[in-house]
Amino acid sequence: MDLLLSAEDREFRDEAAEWLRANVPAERRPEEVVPAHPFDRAWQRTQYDGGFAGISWPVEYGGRGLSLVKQMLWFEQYALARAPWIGTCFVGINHAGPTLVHNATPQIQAAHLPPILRGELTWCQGFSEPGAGSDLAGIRTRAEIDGDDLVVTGSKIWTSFAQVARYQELIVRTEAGSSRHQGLSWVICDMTSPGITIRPIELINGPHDLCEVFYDEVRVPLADVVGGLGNGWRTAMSTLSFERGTGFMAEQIDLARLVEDLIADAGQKRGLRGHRPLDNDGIAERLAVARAETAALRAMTYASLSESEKTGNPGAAGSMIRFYFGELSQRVQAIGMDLLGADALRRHPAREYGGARYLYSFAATVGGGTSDIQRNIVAQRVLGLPR
Amino acid sequence: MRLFYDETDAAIAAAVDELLTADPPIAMIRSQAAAPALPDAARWRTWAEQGCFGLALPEDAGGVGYGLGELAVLFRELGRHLAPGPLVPTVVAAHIAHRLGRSDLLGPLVTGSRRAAFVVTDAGSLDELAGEALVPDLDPDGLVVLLLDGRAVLFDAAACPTPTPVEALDPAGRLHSCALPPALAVLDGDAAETVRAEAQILAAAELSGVAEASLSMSVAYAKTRTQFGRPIGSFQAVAHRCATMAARAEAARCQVLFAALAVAAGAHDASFQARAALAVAGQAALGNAADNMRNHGAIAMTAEHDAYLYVTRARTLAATLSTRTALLRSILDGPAPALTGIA
Repeated sequence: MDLLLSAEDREFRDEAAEWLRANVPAERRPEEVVPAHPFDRAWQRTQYDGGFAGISWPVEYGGRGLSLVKQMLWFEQYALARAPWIGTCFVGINHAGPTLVHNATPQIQAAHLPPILRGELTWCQGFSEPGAGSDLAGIRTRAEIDGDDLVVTGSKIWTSFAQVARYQELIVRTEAGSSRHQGLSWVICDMTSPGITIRPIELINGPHDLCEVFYDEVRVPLADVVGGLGNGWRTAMSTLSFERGTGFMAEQIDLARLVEDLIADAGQKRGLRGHRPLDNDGIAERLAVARAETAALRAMTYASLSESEKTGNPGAAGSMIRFYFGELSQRVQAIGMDLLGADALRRHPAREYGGARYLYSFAATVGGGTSDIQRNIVAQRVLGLPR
Repeated sequence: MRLFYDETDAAIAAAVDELLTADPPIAMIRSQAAAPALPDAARWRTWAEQGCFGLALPEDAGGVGYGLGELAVLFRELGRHLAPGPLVPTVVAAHIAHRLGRSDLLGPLVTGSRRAAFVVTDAGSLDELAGEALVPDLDPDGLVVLLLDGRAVLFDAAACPTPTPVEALDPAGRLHSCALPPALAVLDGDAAETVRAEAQILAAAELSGVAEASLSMSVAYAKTRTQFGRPIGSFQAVAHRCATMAARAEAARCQVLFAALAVAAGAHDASFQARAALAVAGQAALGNAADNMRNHGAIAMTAEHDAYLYVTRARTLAATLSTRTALLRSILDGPAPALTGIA
């Protein structure tokens, strides 16, 4: 067992840090999705030109073909450099791209993967439906075969960035009368196709990242089915296990930094009597536990990554990490609100916590599968409990 | 970077598991229920031969020459099997003796012919420690170890004036109240802080084993116990509790390994990592042992059921090195952790 990096890994890390210092955009990422889109794409292109896009992607698709350790080192340095959130490039880089790497034909890979890495083609996700949230296998959006095309009718919800994305990873029911996990297909949907209507959803924290998408006889070429017709469930799961595993490394560092900010702020004197929140045992206990658990979260992630390097599979431990992270980040945001005092009334306090950020933290136990669903997965697949 | 059991770690864990499966500590505890005793001399020597006390010491000091990471792997197995006796303090006393160059004290500790026990106290200095203190698993022929801020002290147990027996919470343990004699040996400064970090990691490793064992017991029961015509593990109230237990056990396991490697490497935030390991592993063991009681229902309240042994062991281990309040304060007062974990 050891934690020390090889000389080569250290060199890569230092090179990444140096590049980020010189290239991270000085201006802030716009919050609203439409102005953020060109910003995200330009920043993705800059990373590509610098040789830091798709670090663990195969070389033949424009990636660097490097190890998961180097990918993780990149995410760590990225967060340390306070580089902007990946934003509208998230689905292409972290979901659709890896799914295509593992499941698509060489033609599709050649057509899609390099443009994703260069920030030229943005993707969104069409998995959840109004009646298929936690119960994803309840998908009802259907697709009928007509000649060389599928004809899609139905609706999707909670689709991030649908209003700017060019393509969508879309799961549809391609076998009439099939139920649950059978008869589903993972397809590439061109968002400029006739018959698509997009309606942004206003969220409690402000930005309109999420949308509803409606499909009225939208034609998708059969050639754009990925992973085989009727095999969509397995194809989709390969994407989700990525999100639950290593897809949110940078967010962990942001969380660690937030905990340090809270501890520093709690040590400042407040009010006329110069009271320090940190002198309160209740606040101190919550901050100390958060600091310790943030360290444990990182250790779990390193262990899961080590396991992936050894066995080629992140395993179901990803689900454990996911709900541990989600619930911890909610507790940390709640501590922040308790520290803000009168500023807790503001929607935009001049801090990295509180206000709209606090409101957004409620999504941490929902996105990518609720904490309850993650617990089902751990109970059944890790512990082997009966259904 | 590697943070998983390599072949050496797996072999160490398997050897201890095999030994304690063949001679289960719980059977030992049950057979001595009327009069709790320390593990007998033969068993203690067998454990010593497994490397329990010298695994992380160099070979020229009578040790095996591995590091703190490997020792943490071993202590996790001891915790999983509820191995009784003063395991952590005996290692800690050996590490103190080694750092002081006291081979006269070191040799018998490593070979298993002498034991050491912790003084459990909230005191930060010897002056604060007036009167008597509690000493779990005191061996009258052994040593006593006191860990203070920046100072580690060894005493000769035989010189303790009239230790008084006290009934222990943990049926596996003996407990005494006693006053301390003049010190036998003192280790000061950074070396004493490193020894304390090692003690925290080994206690945390044992606690992570208790958390894992409580989880395994619950999962086995949830698969076989039926109510309403179904195994209770099919109900989300039970299944989700088990999933929470699994995450706690995994967090503890990983943080203990990470902290052990950080201390071994002399990382600048090593003391924080060790404290975090003890905090997270303590939470995991206490939480899982309590949830294991809940998962078993009324049967766990019967004295013949083993579930409560994990509760008493978790409570005893978690309270031995410091109060939870003091531990959490030290997590805030000490050096800030590095944002990225790899030096």
